[in-house]
Amino acid sequence: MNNLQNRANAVMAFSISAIFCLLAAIALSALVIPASPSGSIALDSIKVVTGRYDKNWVDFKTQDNEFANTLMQIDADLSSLFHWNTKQLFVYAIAEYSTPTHPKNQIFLWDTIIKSKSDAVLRKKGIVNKYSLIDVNKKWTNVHATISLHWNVVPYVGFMTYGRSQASEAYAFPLPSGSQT
Amino acid sequence: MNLRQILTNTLNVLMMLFGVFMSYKAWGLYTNCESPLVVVLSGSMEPAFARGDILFLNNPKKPIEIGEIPVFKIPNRDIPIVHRVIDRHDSENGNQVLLTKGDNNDVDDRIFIYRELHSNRNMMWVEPQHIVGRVQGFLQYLGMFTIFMTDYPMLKYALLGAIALIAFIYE
Repeated sequence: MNNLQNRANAVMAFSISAIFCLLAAIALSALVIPASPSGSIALDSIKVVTGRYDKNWVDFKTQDNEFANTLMQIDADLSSLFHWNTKQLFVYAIAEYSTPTHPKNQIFLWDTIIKSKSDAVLRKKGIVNKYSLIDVNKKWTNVHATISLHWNVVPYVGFMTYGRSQASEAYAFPLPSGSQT
Repeated sequence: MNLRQILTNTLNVLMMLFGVFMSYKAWGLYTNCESPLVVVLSGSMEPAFARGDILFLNNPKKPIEIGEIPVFKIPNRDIPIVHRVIDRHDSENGNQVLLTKGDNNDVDDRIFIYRELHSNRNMMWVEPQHIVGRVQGFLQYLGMFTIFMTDYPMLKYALLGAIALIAFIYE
């Protein structure tokens, strides 16, 4: 039965399976393409102030919540993460610390989206934290935090993958010096 | 076309539909996720995810990492949200609290998403019981089919009708 309907059906079925095989191959290739990203990150200063509202005007109800303000520098080369199946990099700097009530805490300090290989070399100084740095217990007493640079590779098709730099030395949070204006 | 043929064809169509449904449910069991495929409806995670992209989810028991993208349901809100984790705090007994934000939004989700409903006006964190899945994989555009079908329900009936018609005409 070589009528038009059969032929059209065969062409459709074959092209759909071919496209999905190709997509699967591209998705898997992203897992084996070698990359050598490097990054380092360090804090230049930390200051702690007390206040009632965070950067987004969320009300923490009392005046004595401790918010930290940091300045940091980033030196990273992530250009090797760009290959044919990289849509974008989501790069984020985090602080990591533990407290008596919460053994593991991680907080975003800063993030950026990188869409092309030519933008994937980061040399930045004097970065102010973009997000409010407040602990779940709202105090920074006796806390030591390390910071690190992380990245999420978002593909055109396939698997989300993650990577990170080594953690920095541990920084101690100082006592509050002043209140929010 | 006799009765026997009509019944056989009906059975074949139903077999196909239930086969797809069963594989989807089996996949859900494997990934521990009630709906392992979701379609992105809003642009709040652009440029990573755009409206109409398909996300593949799973929901393992291990704690959520920072920077991961969970799908969560806020109490009393119907539509689940896909946003990135920007804070995590793990307590001693293993309970987690998380703060999320859409990559394309200027602020985190507290004021406009968690607290959008008056009944949640003090909600500070997303907790593991709100989480219905975690994004593992990604496929562009194909979800536009389901968006079209929800936007124009006639299209859905037309498609179902076409499948039925083909199954009957095409022996």
